[in-house]
Amino acid sequence: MNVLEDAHRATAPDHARHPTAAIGHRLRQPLSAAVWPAGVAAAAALLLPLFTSAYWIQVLTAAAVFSVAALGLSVLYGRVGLISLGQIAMLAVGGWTAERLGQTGALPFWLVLLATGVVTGLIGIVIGLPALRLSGLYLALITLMLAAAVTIVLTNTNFPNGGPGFLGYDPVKSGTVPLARPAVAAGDTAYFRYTVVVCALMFLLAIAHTRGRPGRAWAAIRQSEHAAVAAGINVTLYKLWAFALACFMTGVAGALLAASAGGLTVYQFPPQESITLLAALLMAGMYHFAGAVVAGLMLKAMPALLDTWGVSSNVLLIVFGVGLVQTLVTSPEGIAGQLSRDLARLGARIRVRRTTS
Amino acid sequence: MKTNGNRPHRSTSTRVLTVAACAPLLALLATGCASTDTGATAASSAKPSKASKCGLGNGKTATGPAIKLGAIVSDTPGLSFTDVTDMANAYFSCVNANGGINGRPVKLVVAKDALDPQLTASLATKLIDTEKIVGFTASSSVLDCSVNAKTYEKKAVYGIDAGLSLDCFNSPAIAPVNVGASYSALATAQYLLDKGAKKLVVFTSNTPDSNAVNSSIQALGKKAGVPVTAWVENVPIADANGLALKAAQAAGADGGVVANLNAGEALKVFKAVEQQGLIDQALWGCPAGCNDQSMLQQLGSAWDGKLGVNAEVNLAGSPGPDNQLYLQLRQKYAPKTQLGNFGQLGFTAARIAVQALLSIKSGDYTTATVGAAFKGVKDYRSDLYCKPWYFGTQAFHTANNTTRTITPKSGQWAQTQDCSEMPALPNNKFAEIRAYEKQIGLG
Repeated sequence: MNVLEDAHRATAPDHARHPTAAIGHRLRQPLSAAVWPAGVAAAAALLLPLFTSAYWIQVLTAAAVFSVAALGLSVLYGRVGLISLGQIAMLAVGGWTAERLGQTGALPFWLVLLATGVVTGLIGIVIGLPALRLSGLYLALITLMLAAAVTIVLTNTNFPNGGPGFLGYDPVKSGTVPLARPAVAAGDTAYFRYTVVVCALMFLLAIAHTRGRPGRAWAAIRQSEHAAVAAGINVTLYKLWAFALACFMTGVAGALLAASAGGLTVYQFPPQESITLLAALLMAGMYHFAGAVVAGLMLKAMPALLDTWGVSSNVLLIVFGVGLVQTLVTSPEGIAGQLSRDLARLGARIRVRRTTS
Repeated sequence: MKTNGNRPHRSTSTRVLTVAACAPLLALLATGCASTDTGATAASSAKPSKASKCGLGNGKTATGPAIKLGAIVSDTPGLSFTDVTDMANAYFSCVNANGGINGRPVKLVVAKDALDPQLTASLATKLIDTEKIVGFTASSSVLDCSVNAKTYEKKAVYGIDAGLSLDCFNSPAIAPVNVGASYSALATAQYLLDKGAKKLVVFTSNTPDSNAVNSSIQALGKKAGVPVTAWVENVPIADANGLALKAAQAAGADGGVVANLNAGEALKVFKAVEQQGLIDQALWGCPAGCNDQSMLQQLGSAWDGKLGVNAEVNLAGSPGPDNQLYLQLRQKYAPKTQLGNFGQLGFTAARIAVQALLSIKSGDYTTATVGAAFKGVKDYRSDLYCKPWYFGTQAFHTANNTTRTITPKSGQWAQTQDCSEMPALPNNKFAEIRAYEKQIGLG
């Protein structure tokens, strides 16, 4: 047990600390659980391009990608209690892998996504090995060091740009070289829709896991690893599974990012970005998958919004700091949790009024 | 050409080199890379000229719909180039108060990016598609050229910018008003050879362009027949003493060392050189990144005349009319900007853009007409430059390819080498550029 873990238990909402009990109270069928991500994705993919400019389409594409990175962290910390500060580095690894695979020109885009996810998933298992013995602060430090290592390696190798050899980097070539998009999503609007659909699939994958055996095992591990072992849960398997899943999803997100406008550069994955991601997710709602969507918007759409209003997006670092304190003190469930609870209360009141009238 | 003033610059060059390796520590860079501006200007021996006029210079306020130009500028904690756009805006304000562009005001729409290519790409989309800008002026972004140069070329939107990465110098759509990190390092190495260096040593901060910079200096050494030792150095530098000793030993008695780092990191090395008594062991040089007032103040008198720093434009204390106008406008419209290099570059980019816009007599300001006007600039003369600047029709642009070298002297920068051409080498395009200059009558 350690400080971060204690804090996590202290601040997590009741149903997050005892998720099996919470789920028991309001158990939903897998089909109904899939409704909200599918609905949100469908609405976003269909409606947003009708009302927004090309600029906002590009911004929202990035937001969708980062929501999946946040989702990976949400699975690890929100469901299993494992803190990882290497998610942004994994996003970079996913981007690098996708660009290198895509450079061969032999694989269709969807297969590049899948293969990238598999590669990063396997890396996730390796990263997860220390988690078998460590947790909390120590695990956070190790994953942060890993992120720093990825940054250093990337600075030396760069992202593939069509060059020769294993690294695929040609120093003479100029400009970033985005991953080639699929023919059905060549334009920015079509690629936004494609991205939203893939991201929705990642959310459904996460939901399927948390609703099934892995989700119950993760909940048990988070409550007490010793109790989980006593209950016959294979803690090693399920911890590694969580890392593999989180890194798979983040890797796919990295591949999507590689094909988005602008491509990839070594500058955009600093290790501290993972801390910002964690802060944003805690504010948005670590224990609700909807929180990952909000976190993605906070990280990518909010700076654009501030810029539109003529406010420096650097202000966000301060806002996130203050917001994090406010969230931990007054609403540990974050924006998504608070919103969900308020909507439930509103619905209950409406139902009561209807029955009384 | 003569240069009389001495003034610190804050250069584009090494800032770019700082970015990648310092990325994990941007917060620390906020202090490490910062420089202070005392506002002091070196005394000039020549009487200052009368300042140039802004645009039409008729004192009439411009009216009507604004002609929109765009700029993307990096602005993150510890890494900001907003002095470039602020001074460009200062010049445009002056132009708008002096007849504008044939009566119409000109507006610079500035979009601030960070180190996020998706953001940089989306800002270009916003400026072109939403803001409907007709050209770019004074962009100074770490990523803009790498990310958007192909888009600008495809959409035929042209820019007169302050280029940071090498990609800015290899686009048909972008013509930088400055030298850039890579070529500034090359010019520094040439200066050391001119001073008699029999061997060259260069260490460059680890970034995507670093190997290209080192290769360039190796090619220079090969041409000059002197051995070159080059390596890439991770920054922030952990062991400045060890690095200083390594460089001095590698250079030997008659060698020259190019410390291709940003001002903050280079200062660590030069202080270590001084503390170990190695100043006179070799000739020392630094690209335009070291052209920084805070560095000058901290170096101390031990380095007087012992360090050659490349200067992209004339010194801020120079008496020429354009520099006098820059000084006046800075004082009136942008007093918070650092005095020197960045502001001068923004001012110059805006001044060239206005000259181009004024050449459009039809009153029709579109990307096509403005692009043609930008490309038509071929004899822009200024006391800030060593020779005329032009846009040209080539697929690569480095019109500012003749620079000065400065050195610390009694707490001020002093010119130590007059305007000198950057060396043409097999791995750069200066031979083609100079042939083109002759072709258009500027050679």
